[in-house]
Amino acid sequence: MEVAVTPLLGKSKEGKPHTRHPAVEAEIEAVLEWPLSKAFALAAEGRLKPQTLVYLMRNCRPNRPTPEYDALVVAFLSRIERSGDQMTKGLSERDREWVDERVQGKVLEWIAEDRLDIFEMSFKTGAERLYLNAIAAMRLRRRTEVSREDMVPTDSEATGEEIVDALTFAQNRAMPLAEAKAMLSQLLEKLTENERRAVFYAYEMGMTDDEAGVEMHCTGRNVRYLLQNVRRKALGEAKSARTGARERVKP
Amino acid sequence: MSENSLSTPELDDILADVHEELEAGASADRIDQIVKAHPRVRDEILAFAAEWFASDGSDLPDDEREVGRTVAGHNELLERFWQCVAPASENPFEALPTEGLQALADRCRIDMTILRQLVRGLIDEATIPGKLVAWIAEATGARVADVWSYLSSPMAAAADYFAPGGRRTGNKVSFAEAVRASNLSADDQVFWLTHLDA
Repeated sequence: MEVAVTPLLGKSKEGKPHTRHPAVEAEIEAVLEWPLSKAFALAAEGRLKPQTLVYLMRNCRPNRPTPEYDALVVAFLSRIERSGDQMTKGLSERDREWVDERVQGKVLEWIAEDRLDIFEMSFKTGAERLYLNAIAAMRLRRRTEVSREDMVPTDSEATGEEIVDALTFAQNRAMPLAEAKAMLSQLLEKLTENERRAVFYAYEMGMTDDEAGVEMHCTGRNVRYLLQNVRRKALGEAKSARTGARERVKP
Repeated sequence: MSENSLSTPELDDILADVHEELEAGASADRIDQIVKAHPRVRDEILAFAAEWFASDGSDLPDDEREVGRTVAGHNELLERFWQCVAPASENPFEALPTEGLQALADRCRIDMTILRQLVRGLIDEATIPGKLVAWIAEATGARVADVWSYLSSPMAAAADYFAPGGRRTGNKVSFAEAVRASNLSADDQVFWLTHLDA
């Protein structure tokens, strides 16, 4: 009899069963050859794939706390917390604490409801989902104005009428958002998160400045500032690119 | 709109779908369609999509295995963990007819002596190979988690669990010792002992 790796039971919206990466399946099969205490220890020490750690945590939970299993749970929660570092780095300390607590509460809920398939498919995606969920909830809850320092353009010469609209690409609503996001990252590497959110609401979702302001819990005027900043940065990038090109063709 | 408009699991399901679609290349028009299909959680969907759009995501890839940190407040978190997970109460062997036990043992490449020791909690559960647990689950129709939970339950190890000096393995034997003392064929013994550092 082959080693029976417990299949994932969840399905995508299209009804496609959730599956693990073949390399993850192979590692789980190998790990099941060993006594479980050894598997727990290696997973807790970070010597196995994080997806394998989640498999062991879900499928091999004892009926009572044991040091070996508890180490596995702590390793899982530690990895989740570490996964959120970059995603929360722009938040205030108070907001970061709120988000971390929300993530911990949510992941315990998901454990209780056995909703961890995503972590066996891609731990990174699972952790990102938790943090996106929590940060979005934090923003809806806060309902405070976006900090003004983020919005006031430093270059008053740059008015919307004078600059080339370098963001026309972002107004094509049929374009995958991932593509628009990648282009933004490439073109405008130094946009703040608030500026990107303004681009999302105003350019991608086609909202007016005032409507975007309602979603972002600031005024329409603040959204205009943010977008002006975005245009200015985009124009700067475009100018740099043109300058770079001219320099390259110099004799 | 508020989260109270829908139960938390329903909202989590919707946001999970939105996340999948965004990762798979959904356009703004598609997000608009989803919002229109779930007007009660419009704000939550838009806020989630906006964060996804604004975020660079996590910088911890799955192939980086060590994280070099311990989560803050882990003792309290462990307490909360054990409060929220319900202990399995199923005995996967209970419904098995007596005449089915030999077939179960054969299917799992063990003998009746080892099976009896397992069910009675006489084998130290920490030494049982994961694949045997998976096979027993398959043969009994139980979930792997329930089999493991039963084999490692206080019920199966009661005498040791309540020992005055704390939980001990007492008279338990390791799985490797049980295999060596069994009447299993040489092939089966080698099969089990190869991976057990025996």
